[in-house]
Amino acid sequence: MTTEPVAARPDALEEGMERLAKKAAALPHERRMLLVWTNHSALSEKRVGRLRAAFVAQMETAQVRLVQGETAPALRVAIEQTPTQIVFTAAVPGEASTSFAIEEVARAAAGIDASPGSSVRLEKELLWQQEAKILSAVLLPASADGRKQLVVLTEEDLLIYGGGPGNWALENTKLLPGPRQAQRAARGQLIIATESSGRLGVLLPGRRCEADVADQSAVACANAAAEWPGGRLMALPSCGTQTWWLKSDGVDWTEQDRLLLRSAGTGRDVAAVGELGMAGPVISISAGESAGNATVVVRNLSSGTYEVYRVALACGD
Amino acid sequence: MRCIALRWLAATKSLWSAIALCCAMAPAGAAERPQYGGVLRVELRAASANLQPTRWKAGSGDFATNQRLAELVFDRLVVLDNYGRFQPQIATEWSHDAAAKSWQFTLRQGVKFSDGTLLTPGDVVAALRPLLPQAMQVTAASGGIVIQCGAPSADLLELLASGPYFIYKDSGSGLRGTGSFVLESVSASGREADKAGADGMPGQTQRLRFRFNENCWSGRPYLDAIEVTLGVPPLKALLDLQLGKTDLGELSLETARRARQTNLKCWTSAPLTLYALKFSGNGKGENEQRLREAIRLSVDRGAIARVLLQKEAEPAGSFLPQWLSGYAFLFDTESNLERGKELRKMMTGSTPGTVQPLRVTVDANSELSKLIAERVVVDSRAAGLTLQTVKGSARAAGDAGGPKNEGDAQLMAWRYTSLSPRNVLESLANAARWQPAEGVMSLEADARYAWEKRMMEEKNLLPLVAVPDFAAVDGRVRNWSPAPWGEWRLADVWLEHGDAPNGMRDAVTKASVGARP
Amino acid sequence: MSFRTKLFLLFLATVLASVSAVTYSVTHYTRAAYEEMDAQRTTALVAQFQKELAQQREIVARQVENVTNADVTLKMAIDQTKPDPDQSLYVRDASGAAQEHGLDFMEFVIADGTLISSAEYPARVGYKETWVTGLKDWNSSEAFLRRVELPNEVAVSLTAVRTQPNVAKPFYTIGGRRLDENFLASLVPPAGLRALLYLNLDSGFVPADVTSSTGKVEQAEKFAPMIAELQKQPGTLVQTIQWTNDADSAETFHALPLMGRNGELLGALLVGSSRADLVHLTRHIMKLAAAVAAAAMLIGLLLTWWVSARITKPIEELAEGAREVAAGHWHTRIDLRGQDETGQLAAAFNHMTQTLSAQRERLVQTERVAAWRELARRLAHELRNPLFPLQITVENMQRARQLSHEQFVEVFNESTATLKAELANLNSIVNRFSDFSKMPPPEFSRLEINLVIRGAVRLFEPQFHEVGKPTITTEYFLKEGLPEIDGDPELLHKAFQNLVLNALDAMPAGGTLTFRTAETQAGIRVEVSDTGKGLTPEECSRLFTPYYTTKQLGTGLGLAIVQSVVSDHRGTISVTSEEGHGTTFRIELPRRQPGVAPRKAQPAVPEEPPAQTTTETAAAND
Repeated sequence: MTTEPVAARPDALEEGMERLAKKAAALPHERRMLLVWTNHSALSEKRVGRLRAAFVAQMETAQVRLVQGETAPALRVAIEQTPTQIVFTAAVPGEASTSFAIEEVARAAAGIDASPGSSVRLEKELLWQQEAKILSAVLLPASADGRKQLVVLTEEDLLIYGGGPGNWALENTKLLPGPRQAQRAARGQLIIATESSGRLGVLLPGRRCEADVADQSAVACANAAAEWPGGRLMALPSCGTQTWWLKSDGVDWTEQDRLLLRSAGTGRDVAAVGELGMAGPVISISAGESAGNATVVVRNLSSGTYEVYRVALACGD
Repeated sequence: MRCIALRWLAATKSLWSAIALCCAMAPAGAAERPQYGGVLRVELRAASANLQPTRWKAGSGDFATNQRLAELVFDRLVVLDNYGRFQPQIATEWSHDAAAKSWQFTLRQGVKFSDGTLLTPGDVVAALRPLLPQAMQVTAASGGIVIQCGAPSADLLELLASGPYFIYKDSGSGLRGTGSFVLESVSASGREADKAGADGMPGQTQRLRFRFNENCWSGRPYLDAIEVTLGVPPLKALLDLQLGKTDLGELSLETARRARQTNLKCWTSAPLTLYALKFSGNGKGENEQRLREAIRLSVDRGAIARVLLQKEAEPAGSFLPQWLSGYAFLFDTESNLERGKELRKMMTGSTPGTVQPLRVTVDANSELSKLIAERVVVDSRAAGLTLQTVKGSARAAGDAGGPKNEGDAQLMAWRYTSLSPRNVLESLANAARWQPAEGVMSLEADARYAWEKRMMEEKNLLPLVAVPDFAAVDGRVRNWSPAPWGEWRLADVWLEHGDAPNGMRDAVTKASVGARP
Repeated sequence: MSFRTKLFLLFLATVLASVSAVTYSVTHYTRAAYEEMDAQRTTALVAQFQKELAQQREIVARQVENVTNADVTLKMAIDQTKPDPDQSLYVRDASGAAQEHGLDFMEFVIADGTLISSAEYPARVGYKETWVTGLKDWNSSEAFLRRVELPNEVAVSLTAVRTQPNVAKPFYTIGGRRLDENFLASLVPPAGLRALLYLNLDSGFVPADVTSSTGKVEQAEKFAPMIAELQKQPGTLVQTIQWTNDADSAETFHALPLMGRNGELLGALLVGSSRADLVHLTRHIMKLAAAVAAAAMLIGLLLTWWVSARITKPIEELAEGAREVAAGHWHTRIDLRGQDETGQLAAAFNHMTQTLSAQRERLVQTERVAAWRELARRLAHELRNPLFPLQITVENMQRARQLSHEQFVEVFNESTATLKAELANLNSIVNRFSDFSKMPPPEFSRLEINLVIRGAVRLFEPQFHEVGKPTITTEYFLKEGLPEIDGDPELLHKAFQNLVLNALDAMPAGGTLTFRTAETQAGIRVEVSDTGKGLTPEECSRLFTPYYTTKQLGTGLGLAIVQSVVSDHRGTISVTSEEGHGTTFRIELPRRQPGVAPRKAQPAVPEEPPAQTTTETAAAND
């Protein structure tokens, strides 16, 4: 059994941030300052948010006025990470010069949230493949009887399959109204409506459509400027409260693509915590049956077929 | 030993069966189990190695090689994992007083050296005493040791988890450790292997063979042996990797780029080697100060890191890198050529760098040093300063700081060999011949920052860029997870399709199902 | 210089002149021929170099084109046209391209002049190479020489620049080969020639920059003046360099400047041609000429000796004869030999001496007769003066017999007084003549002339300031410290007295009598000057003739005595005078007389001249 001299305490980081705020408040500073916040550590967004709140609260206690959305000298607070410490720095603008305050908290004392999310990973499962082009697909949450539905968007219609991997059966076909899409610019995205899993949103170039998979109603479309999602935000309670973005690597359609999982709130220069190689370009990423899942359409460059995968988050060893 | 092996085999079989079942049901993503056996072939750049930690010099380039090899045969009291947590090794428990001056470590029971003798607290004391700073006293206690520090040392664990602080015993016929491997033989080129008795012979040593330590307290390593070849130039290591003649090769900056282009699995550490300009003389004169400041302002660190070193390095505005201090970004790395020119114009007399060139000694054996020094010369010339590179003669092996300084300044390469920022700063201060008025550095980050700032103002040492380590592995090397700070942790590595050791065979199928994509 | 010597020298000069002329001509034409041959060989080597250089230009240009057209270069160029290109990707590519294509230098530069990759100076990546963006169409330009900056040195490169034709923005490939001693190795100079290369990379001259195909050149500092001139005015230059003190170490160098694109001097090809052969040949010719000259000298020596023996000996005899005649041997004769010019000359000489001898005897006879006549005249004149009063007195006495006894006694006493006086006068005259005839030989002793002069003049002091008589002022300019001379003090005393008397006679109305003494090279000089009426030139010429006097009453012996004394002292006396301004007598006496022992002279006792006698004598001399 190990007894560490610094036991993990859930508030250790917050306390450290409060100490930083006290130091910063004691330094010569402008009357009004704009808080600029940067996080380069592996702390979760939620945790970082708590730290920010602690800092602001302490500064207010010290009667330092922090503004937002206004032009004012910037008070820059950064959260950095070393092998053993979480380092907080504050660059406080004064009249003549900028002063700095630094505070450290041992990573071991910061608790489980301080650890990097390297234990999360991606797993894929092939659901469906066909030769005809698939624009998007979505695996709907299972119904009460455990039956799942897979909706596939092609250039012309919506195909609704029921069953499970390996034994899907076509249940319904809904034609897409309006003129046929140009082949070169064919694009589409299926979106699950949050209020009702049976209703789907269909994004098409210049149009937004809605369809109900439960009945035989036609697809209704209206002209609208589509905002195409860049990826899928995923979360898995067993992996913690952190959220991740699932995106493709962005290669062209002649190369094999990768799915990359990055912590939500981190920039592109932060390394991906997980990746999944695919056999060809990723055509679309859509929602899955739960927040920890996504439905991904890939074109297999070897066979030329379009494949639909269920991509899931997994945590632990 | 055989009993243990059989029990292990039985356990492994049932475990694999369970795994195979799970793999059929579960979605893809389950980890692959390691395979025992095989010889890992490693090629390192250093021409010699020394396993005796007392002979390692802080900041020297050979430190990394020595440390990596020492990790195979020795253990530490504690190690640091990738999550910032100290994990027990020889020490299982530790605590300290409120002032963090008195530390108690409980030692693991039943740990044996590779010769079968039991590890005692006295052995730990004997190993650590010559290595610890003078202000720290280590004594044996019941079931453990006590380290008494003259000043608060909350960073003692960082210190012990890095650097030369290994636990070993000098048995008279050589060094013995408790690590996963034992040094079996040492051979020079063309000569037959000698049974290893010594602790690594510098100079002529070319190949070392480490065999698994069956007495290892953490269990037999997966590998049967590790063969390390020293003195392999990075380009040859790269070729050998591509030809399959080696499994793990230490690369250079340039060869690492090539390795990536050939789809080898590459590893880049955090910036571990600081390249800095070290000035001779005390620099107290006004002209000297202006000269050094002008050089500092004229050198474009960003261009060196971004363009010249092809984004493989980081500009260094401070002595401690960002990954070690967390506040390096507070130091300015931007160049200001106009101000540099102004300072040049203000210089009077015949200070080196004005009429006569300032001679910068460079390690003739390091292409990277030469490149950086040449860029410093070119940048300084833009400010009207005249610098000239001079090839320096090599220091003795293991000495820190690069070649002997035979000029007015020296481009030194300083290796970060400790996880304790304070320890690194103190070592650098020694190298820069700087002693602040307050003497001992406080543990507070603010104090360290202030100390570092003052050291920068002295201008005895001008940081330029920090360069990481590079390595590449063959595809059959599995489970290699080196630390960003340079530890290679080869003890956990296993080889795919390795030779079965001593009758121990796995029933593991090929890793196709459930393989992590 | 003797005639023999002159003849010898003349002969020698003639021979030497001839030999020199021949030697000069031979060496001149030999040198000219050598120079021409050397120039031809040098021209050939230079042409070879230029051809090699031209070939290298083509090769370099071709290699750079290959690099430019390579796929990797095209990719690099295309990448650089994209927005925000990553320039760090290609930092090492130039090094690989250079190695692959066998070039020493390689750089890649993008449209704005930024260097993105450099084989020779990677540290400069990111800096601008503005010179390359100045020209748009590099693809038609040939390779040129360029100064290349390296980390620790500067080199000269044969460089070509090409641009990638398939991209919108210019992408420059700069490649080159180093110009160094390896380039010289490709040249094959003929025997006796060598090629050196000087790379002009510094403002001054750097000896280490002179290289040959085998490496460094010894004593390269001797090229300094040549290179300095080349730097001042680039152009083909020829200079000879002497490596050691030995002339055959000389080497003539032709310098061919190597210019850069902008006309800057980047180096020079130095083609050296050893002059050892020419020097050896010239030396051989010189040795031969010297041998011929030496032989000619020997022959000339013998010839001149023989010729001069036949010519100079008679001339020497003639000269000796002339000297004898000058010494007074009027009867000197020379032996006649031959009928040639020298024989005729000897005959003429003998005839001359014979004639001179006869004429001298006649002259002496004539002078003797003239002197006897003059003496008789003077004697008659001198004697007549006292004889007339004698006659009158005797006649008076005869007439007084008629007178009374008292009157007769008075007359008798008066007459006898007169008779006595006149007889004394006669006696004096006879004594003077006797004195003059038997002037004693001088008795020499060491004396100080100033003392003698003062002693002689002191006797006349009372007369100089006699009341009722005109004043005579005496001035002394007697040099102190005169050396003692050998002389007869009494004779000199007498001589000076006569001069003083003469001067007094010349200044009846008073005047200034000046005495000067000075030292001469041979002895001393005494000058006695008066401010009297002076003498005419005729008088001057006859002044020292015995019995010649300008005075009405004078024996004319005074100056003759002076001259005799001076002559006895082996001195000379001369007179200068100007009518109305005075006369100066100059006596020069030698310091020593032969056979005289250094015995101090007794100071001459100044004689107290009998006042009457002196006056009368002076009056008689007038």
